[in-house]
Amino acid sequence: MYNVLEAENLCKSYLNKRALQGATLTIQQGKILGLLGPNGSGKTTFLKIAAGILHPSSGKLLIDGQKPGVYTKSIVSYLPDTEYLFKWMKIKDAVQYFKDFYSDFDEKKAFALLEFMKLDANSSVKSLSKGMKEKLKLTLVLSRKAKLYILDEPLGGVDPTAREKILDAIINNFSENSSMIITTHLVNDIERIFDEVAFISDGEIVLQGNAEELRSNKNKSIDELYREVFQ
Amino acid sequence: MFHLIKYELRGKLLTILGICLTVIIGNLFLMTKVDSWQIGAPVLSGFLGGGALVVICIASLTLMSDYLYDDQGYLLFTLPQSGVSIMASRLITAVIQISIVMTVSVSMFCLLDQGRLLNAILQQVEIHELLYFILMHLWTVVSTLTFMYFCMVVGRIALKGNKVGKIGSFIIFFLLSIARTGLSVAIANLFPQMVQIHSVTTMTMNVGSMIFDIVTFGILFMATSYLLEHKVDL
Repeated sequence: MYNVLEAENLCKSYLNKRALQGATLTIQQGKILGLLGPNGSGKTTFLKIAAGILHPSSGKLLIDGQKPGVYTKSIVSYLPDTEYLFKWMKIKDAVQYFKDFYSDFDEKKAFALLEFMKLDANSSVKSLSKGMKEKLKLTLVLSRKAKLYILDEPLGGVDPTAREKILDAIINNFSENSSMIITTHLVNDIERIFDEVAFISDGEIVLQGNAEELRSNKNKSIDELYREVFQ
Repeated sequence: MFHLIKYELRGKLLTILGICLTVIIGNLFLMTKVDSWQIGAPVLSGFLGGGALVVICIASLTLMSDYLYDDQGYLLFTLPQSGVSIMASRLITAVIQISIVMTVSVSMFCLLDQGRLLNAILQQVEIHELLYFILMHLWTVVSTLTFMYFCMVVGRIALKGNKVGKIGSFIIFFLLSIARTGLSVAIANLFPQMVQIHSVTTMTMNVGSMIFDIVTFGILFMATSYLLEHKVDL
């Protein structure tokens, strides 16, 4: 099994802040990794570098052996924690947009997922609630046959019922040929789908391991372990 | 790249339609006043067209700033598109939308004027010269926008804050404009060779300045493309 993502001593500094301080992380093919940490720990910075929309100050990050760029963007499916779709779009326009730009986009799967999420393809994007927008974004991202899925807070701001729906969509649409990296604060809700977890604090990975091994070795759930590490 | 142009034009469709409708309705109103206002109506039509052009040029600038400062940037910069594609699509979209507004404005002016000015121009100017003027118009739009986009991108990279970045871009634009004009004048003085453009009038162009403009455009286009692909942080 090969590493889809390899990060080594990754650093990112802003004018007066160091967001990442030598983060080292690997993700194997077929694994779902939970990147967990409190606000401002560097999770989103790490994901943005992997998505190719932020550039590291130093260190190395490779996806499928390549530095983030045009190629890696074609194999990475990224769900940002922002409302990035055009406001003039209807849901079907957003689907067409992804179909036009990503050769790995599966339109049939997208419409099946829209039905599963109970979203009307003729609805306007700006008329959707926060939870519905989250479901739409997830539909678009999961409808790609990407090598690496990067989901930044996929459960942010959605109600518990929608969370279950989103988690089901993630599990049902994940393929063994792909890998996934998820950040969340709702550890308890999502920890069951993690194969690996990495705890990040002040821009450094402080603990990484197999989720099941960590649970049995520490005799704690990942949620409890998270609270212990970041108390 | 053509998909990028398609979605850019779709995004600005309401703006383009709104401007064109304003120009058409304004000119239709002026047509009802041609007899009473006489020369005033064509002059106001010209102002209306000029205003429409200014608005669409500002809209062309927002093509870039929306992506640099708003969340829409996440949509664009996560696409597997090179910086060259992004830059070229922005310029082509801007040229298309400016050309649409110009065509509507000029057509409405000609209708209002009953073709008098156009006929006068066509009698003085030959077709190939008219084509040259159109090409020069396109060149001016493309080279000016490239210069402005470069300043916007540099401002975004150098000064990351929203308002600071935008003000910084303007300052960079101001300073670089002075430097560019100074260099162009210096080159024109060093190489005073001229080319006559128009067969009747004495319209000429300095060869040195022309080459300088083309080279500057090439450098700015490639530099902006590189910065968009490798340096812009969201």
